[in-house]
Amino acid sequence: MRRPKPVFVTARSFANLRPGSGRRVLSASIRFISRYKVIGMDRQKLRETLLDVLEQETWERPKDFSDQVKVREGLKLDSVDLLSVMLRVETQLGISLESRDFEKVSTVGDLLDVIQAKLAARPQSKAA
Amino acid sequence: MPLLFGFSRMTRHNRWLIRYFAAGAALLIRSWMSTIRVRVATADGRIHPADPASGRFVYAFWHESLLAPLATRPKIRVLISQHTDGEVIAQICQRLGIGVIRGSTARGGSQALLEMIREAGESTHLGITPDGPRGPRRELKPGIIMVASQTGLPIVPVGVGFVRAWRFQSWDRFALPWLGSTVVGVLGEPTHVPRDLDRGGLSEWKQVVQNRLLELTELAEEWAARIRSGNNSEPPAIVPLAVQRRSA
Repeated sequence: MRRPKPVFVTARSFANLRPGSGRRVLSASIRFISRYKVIGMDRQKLRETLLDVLEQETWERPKDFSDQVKVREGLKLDSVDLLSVMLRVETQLGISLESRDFEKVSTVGDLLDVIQAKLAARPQSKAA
Repeated sequence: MPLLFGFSRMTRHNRWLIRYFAAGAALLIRSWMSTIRVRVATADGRIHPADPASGRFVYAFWHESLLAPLATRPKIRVLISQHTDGEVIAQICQRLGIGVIRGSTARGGSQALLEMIREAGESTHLGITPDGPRGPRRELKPGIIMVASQTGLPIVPVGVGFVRAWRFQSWDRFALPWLGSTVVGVLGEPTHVPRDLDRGGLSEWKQVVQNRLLELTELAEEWAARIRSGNNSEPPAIVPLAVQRRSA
């Protein structure tokens, strides 16, 4: 796989940020970090964990669980299902979710991004 | 509260206007509800609203009877949307002595439910209108089961009947009791929901609580009708919930 061109962040890049850029920068950073497995749990392993939790919760194992699949339309999860899944993930992985985390969730990829960000923010003793 | 929605749209950026309006509305509601007579029948003989120090509950009542609990001044916290409409309602609630949990329902409610679970606190009851905020009327959504399951608080379903009330042409047919009229409440026994329910469990318990709430509402409306006709104002006999399922 061809390595992506490195991006250098300067003071000028921050000066040019517009409202909403922060979220884009954050999600791009998470995608970059997860691609190179900087965060403790591998994305694929996390996907498997999430699939298991989903199966426990809904008694169904979706065939397509790629990053682009929509949580509501693709996985047919309503708000209560989504919360159940996330609370189970929270217990299983020892992370702590906040209500604003749900703002970012629309696809499976978003779900994995949120969990990975939470895993990365976990104290080192827990992460180990 | 359907009357507030048009007003809050006009005052989207005017915090002072919202504040004055909320103060006026709270005063009006408090004065109005202080003229209302309340009669309550409970399935287990317990006094409601209970002192939160002796036991906390999730009180469930239909959205149409949102005003009725105000006549009893309960120590309760309710979930209010973070939008401007919610800001007006939240300020009115706070002035009426009702605790407020702010949560967004814009993304289908996951955020709002998590707020409620996280901020349930330890000194007040929770109040939920399980068919709100948009209906369908008298159809319970599983959010209340989720909250009860995660917080461990038992649900007390509350059926409300109005002896005389105006009904709005809103989705819930919101009820405004006549000045000086009587409102009756029929409360079921606390229903304990097991912890960590899956989708099947949530659906099963949703049906149990919805049936009980419909049954109690019917009893309350029948009681209110009897009072209105002057035939017999005795409280109804409440048959205990046949299947009382408790978590192992």
